[in-house]
Amino acid sequence: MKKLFAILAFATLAQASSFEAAKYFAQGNTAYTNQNYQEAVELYKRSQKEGLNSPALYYNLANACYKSGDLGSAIANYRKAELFDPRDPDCAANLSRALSQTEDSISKKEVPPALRSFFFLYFYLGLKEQVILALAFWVVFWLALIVLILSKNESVKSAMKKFSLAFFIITLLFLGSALYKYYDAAHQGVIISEQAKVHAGPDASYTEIFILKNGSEVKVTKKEGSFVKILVHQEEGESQAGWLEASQIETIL
Amino acid sequence: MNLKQITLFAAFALISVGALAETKVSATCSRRAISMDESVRYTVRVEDAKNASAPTLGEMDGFRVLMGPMQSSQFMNNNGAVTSFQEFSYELQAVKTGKLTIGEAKIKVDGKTYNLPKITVDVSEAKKSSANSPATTEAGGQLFLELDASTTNGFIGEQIFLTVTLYYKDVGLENATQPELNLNGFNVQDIGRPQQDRQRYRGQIYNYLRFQKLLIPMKAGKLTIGPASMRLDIQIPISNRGRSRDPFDDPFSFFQRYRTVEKNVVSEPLVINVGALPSKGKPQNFSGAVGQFHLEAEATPKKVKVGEPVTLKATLVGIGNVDQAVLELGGTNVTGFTIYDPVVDKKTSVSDGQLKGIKTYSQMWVPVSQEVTELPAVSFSYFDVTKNDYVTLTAGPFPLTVEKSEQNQKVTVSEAIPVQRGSAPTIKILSQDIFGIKLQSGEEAISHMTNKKFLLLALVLPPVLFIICALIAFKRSKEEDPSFKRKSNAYAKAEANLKKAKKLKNKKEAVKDFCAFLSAALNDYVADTMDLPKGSISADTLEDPALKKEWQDLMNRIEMARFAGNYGPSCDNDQLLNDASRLLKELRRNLK
Repeated sequence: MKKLFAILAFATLAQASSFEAAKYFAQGNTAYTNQNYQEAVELYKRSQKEGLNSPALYYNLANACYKSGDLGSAIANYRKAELFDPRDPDCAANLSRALSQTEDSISKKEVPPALRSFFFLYFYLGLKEQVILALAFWVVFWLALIVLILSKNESVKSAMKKFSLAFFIITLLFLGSALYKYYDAAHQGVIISEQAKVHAGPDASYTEIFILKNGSEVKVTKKEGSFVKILVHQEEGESQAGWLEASQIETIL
Repeated sequence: MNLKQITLFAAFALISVGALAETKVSATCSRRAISMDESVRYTVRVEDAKNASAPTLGEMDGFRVLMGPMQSSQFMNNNGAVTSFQEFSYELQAVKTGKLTIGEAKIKVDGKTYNLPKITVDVSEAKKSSANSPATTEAGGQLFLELDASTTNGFIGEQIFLTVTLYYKDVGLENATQPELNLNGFNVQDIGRPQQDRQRYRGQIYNYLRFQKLLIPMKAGKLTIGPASMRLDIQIPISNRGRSRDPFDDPFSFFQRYRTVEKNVVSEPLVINVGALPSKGKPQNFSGAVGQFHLEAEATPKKVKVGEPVTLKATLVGIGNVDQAVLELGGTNVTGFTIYDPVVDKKTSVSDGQLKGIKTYSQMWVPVSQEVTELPAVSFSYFDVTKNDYVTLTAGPFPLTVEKSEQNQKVTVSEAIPVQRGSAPTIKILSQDIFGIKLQSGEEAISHMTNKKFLLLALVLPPVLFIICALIAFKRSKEEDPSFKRKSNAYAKAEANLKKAKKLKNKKEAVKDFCAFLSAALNDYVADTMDLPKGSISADTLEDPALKKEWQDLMNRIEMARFAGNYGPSCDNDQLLNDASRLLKELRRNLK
C-alpha cells in the first residue's frame, strides 16, 4: 500500500509545470545550442527543481551531461527519460551510444525477446502511462459494478459481472506492472564518480574488493548509513556484490 | 626413445618453431613529453630472433646517455607457441628544451640490419620545485605524486597522454591503489599496467610507479585534471638505535626491519586549455578526426569487362582518434557503376603513449557501361595539431579500362564482398554524435491527467459513487417488496385506526365502529408486521405468554363492548382506547 501511494505521489509530481520551470527549460535549450553544456545542465536541473518532470527534460539533461563529459549522469538521466517514455527512439539511440563508451564490461540482464513481446505493455508503456491506465481501468471497474447493481436487465447484469471481473484483473495487471517498474527503477543506479571503490562492508575501512568506473550500471540492494550495497553483473563471469558510498551513485528514482 | 633423445627432439622442435616466428624490431620511448630535470628511457625491442647485437644509436639531438645499454631477454612457451624477446634500454637526459629527436638507430639481427624510426620528444623547462615539493617521510625518505600531460594546450578531439607518477625514495611501497582523480570533460582510456622502475628526476634517482591514461577532450575551455590522490602503505626502515640489544636478535644487523605506515599522497591539479577546432577552412567532409593520418588507395584490376567487379581498397593509417575518421569514397553523383556498401575494418592500439589506428575500406564497383574511364578520387580531411590547420588527403582518381562484355546479357554480379555484420555500415557515416535536444518540454499533453486532485478523485470517487448507488438500489428493492411495504406502514396504519377510534369514543351510537377501529388497529398491525393474512390473527399468533394473555383479554373486552353494549366498568371506552394504545406500543417493541 505504501508503494502504491509512492507511485501515485510520483505520478502526481508531474503537475502542470510552472512558468519558471518552462523558462529554465527554454534557457537550457539555448545554452545547449550555444554549446555551453555545463550551463545547460544547471538550467535543466533548475527547471526540474521548479517542478518539471517530463521525459524531454531528462533527455535534454542527459544530452547536456554527455556533452560535458559526465557519462554517468548522462546514462542515469537517459534511463529516467526511458522510464517515462520507453518508445522514444532518440533516447534509445543516445543511451546505447553512452553505454558503449563505459569502461567496465558490465551487462544489464537482457529480457528475452519472447518475454518482451508477451509483456509488451510493460516495456512499451512508461511508468506514468501505466499508472494512468491502471486508474482508468479502476474507474471502469467501479462503473461496471454500478451498472451491475442498478440494472434490472438480467443479460446486462450477466455481462457486467464478466466485465467487472475483467476490468479488475486488468487494473491489477497495470498496477502490478507499474509497481514492478517503480521497484526496478528505484533499485537501479549508475556510477557518477570517475571511479568508485567498492568495499566488502558498509564503511571505508573495509577491504576494497573492486573498482567501478563512471557510467557502470548497478543494482542497489540495500542502504546502510552513507553506504549502499550494490550488485553488478559482469558480461563474463559471476555477479559481484559490495558496498560503496551513496554519493558515488545516482539512482533512477 | 630414451630421455636424452626426447629432450633433444623437444629442444629441436622448440628451436624450429622459434625460427618459424617472424622477427619484429621496434623502438619505443617511455615518455613523449618530459621536463629538463627528468630522464627518459629509450628501448629497442627485438622479438623472435636468435641473435641480436646491441643497437647503434642514431644522432642524439639534445640528449645525452646517462646509462645503457641495459640488456634483458625473455623466452616463453605458451601452449607450444614459442616467443622470445630481447630489449636494449638507454636512460637519456635532455640537455636543452624544444622538440628533440632521437635519431634512427640501427640494429643487426640474425645477420640482417634493421633501421629504427626517429622518435621526437617534447622537452620543457625544468619544473619549479615549489609546485609539489617531495614530502619527506619520518625516516627521511621521500614520496610525492605528480600529474603530467603530453601537452597543456590542446584541441577538442586531440589525444593527450597523461601520466600519474608516484616518486619515492628510501621507502618501501605496499598496497598502492589506483590514483583517484577528476577527469570531467575527457574521454578516458587506461593504458596498460602501471610501470615501476627507477628514473633520474630533479637531479636525483627515484623509484617510480607510473599510471598512464589517454585523454581525449570533449569540450573546449579550461579543463582541470585532478588533483590526483593515492592511498598506500609505505615501509619505513626502523633505526638501529631503538633496536634490542639481545645478541641473539640479529647481532650483525643482516636484516633490516621495517614498520608500515598508511599514507595518502595528493598531487597538484593540472589545467589543460582545450581550444575548439577552428571553423575557418573546415572542409565539408571533415568528420572530427584530429591527429596525423596517411591515406593510401588503389583500385584493382585496372582493366575489366562490363559487369566485372573492381575492388577499391583504401587504407587510412594514423595517430589520433581513428573512430572519428570517416573516409569519403568516390563522389555522390557517379554514373556508370553499380556501387556496393564498403566493408570497413578497424584496428586500434596504444603504443608509445599514442593512440594509433588503421582503418581499411573495401568497396566493390561494377562498371555497367563501357564509357567509364576512371574511378573517382578518395578523400579524407582531418585537423593536424602540429600544423594547426585542416589537411585534406586525396588518392586517385583511378584510371580504368572497360571493355565490352563477351556475353550479351544483363549485367550480374557473380560474387559480392561479404558484408560483415557489425562492421559494415549500410549507410555512409560522416560523423557520430548523439541525437539533439527536444525543444518542447512535453509536459502539457498529460499534465491535467496527472494532476494530484484528479488522480485522488479517480481513486476515491468511483467506490464512493458505488456505495451511494448500492444504497439507492437497496432502498428501491425494499420499496418494491410488498411485505416490506406492509411492515413499514403497519404502525402508522394502526395509529390512524386508533385516532379514528378516539374520535368515536364518546358517541354511544357509534360504539360498534369504535370497537371495529380498535380491533383493526391491533389485528392489522400484527398481520402487517408479521406479513400474515388478516383473518389468521389470533392470540396464538403471539409467542410471548404475557402479551398473548393481554391480547386475549383486550380482544374479549372489545368484542363484549361491540356486541353487549357499553355495560360495566370493563367496557369503558377510554379505558379500552388506553389499553389498546398501550398494547400496540408493547407489540411494536416485541415484534421488531
